[in-house]
Amino acid sequence: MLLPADTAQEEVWIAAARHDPQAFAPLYERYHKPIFLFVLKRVQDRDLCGDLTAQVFLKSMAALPKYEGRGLPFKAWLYRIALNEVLMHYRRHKGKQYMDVEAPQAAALLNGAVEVGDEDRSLDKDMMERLTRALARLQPVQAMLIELRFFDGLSFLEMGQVLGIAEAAAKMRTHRVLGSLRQYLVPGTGNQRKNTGSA
Amino acid sequence: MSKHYRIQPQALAPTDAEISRYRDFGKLVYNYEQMTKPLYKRPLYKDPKAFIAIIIIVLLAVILAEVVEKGKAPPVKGPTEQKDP
Repeated sequence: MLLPADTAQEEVWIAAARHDPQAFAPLYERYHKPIFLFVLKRVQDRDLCGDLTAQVFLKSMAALPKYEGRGLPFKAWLYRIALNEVLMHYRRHKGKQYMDVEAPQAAALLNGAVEVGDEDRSLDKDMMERLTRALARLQPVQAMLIELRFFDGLSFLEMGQVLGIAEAAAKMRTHRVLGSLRQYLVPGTGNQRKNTGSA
Repeated sequence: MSKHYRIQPQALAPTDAEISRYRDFGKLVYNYEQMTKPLYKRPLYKDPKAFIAIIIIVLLAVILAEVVEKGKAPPVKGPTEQKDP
C-alpha cells in the first residue's frame, strides 16, 4: 500500500508523463517488478512474461492521457491492464492455462479455507493435490478472487479496485469462495462455518 | 477453459538481476513513439514531390478513362432485334 506522500508524488509523475513519454520512467521503475511477477505467475515462461509486461506498460503509456485517478490508484489500473493482457494472451493461443503457486501461499490459502479441527492442515502431497483439484473446480471469477487475495497478496480494497467492485463486495465474495473451497476440501462442510481468510 | 494450478515447494521468484534483464525503458519509449507517431510528418499534398506524383496519377487516370470511352464502338442492333411492326 502506498503512503499518501507516495501517491501525491505519483500524481505528479503521471501528470508529467501525459505530455512527455520520458517522464514515465519513475512509474516504470516503481511498477516493473510487481507487474513482471504478477504476469510470471500466470504465464511461467520468462521471455513471454517480459514481452507481456512490456505490452502492459506500452498500453498504459498510450492510455495515460485518458487515465483519471478517480478512486482507481495507478497500481490497480496497471494490474487491471496486466490481467487483461494475460487473458488476451490465453484467448489468442487457446493453450492450457497454468498458475504457479508457492507453497507458503498455498498453506495460507489452506489456513483460510479449512478451520482448525476440520482437517489436518499440513501441506503434504495429498493435501497439495486436493487443493489443486479444488482450485481447478472453481469458476474463473471465483478463482480470480482467490488468486488476487492469496497468491498476489492484494488487500480487499486493491482487489475491488482491480476487479471494479466495492471493497466490501470483494471481501464477501472471497469469503463465499473460501466456503466453496472448504466444501471441496473437506466434504460435509461449507458456507455455514465461519471463515478465517479475512485477514 | 479451466486453469491448472501447480504448487511449488520452493520459491520461484526470479532475482532482481534476472528481472532487470527484461527492464528496458529506452525500448519502451521507442516502441511508444513508433506506435503513436503519424505515418507522414506533413500531409502529402504539402510535399511538392508527392503533390506532383498525385497530379500525374490523377491525369493518367483521366486520360486512360477518355481513351477507353472513345475506343468503345456504339452498340449496333443485330438483325434478330429488328422486328416488323
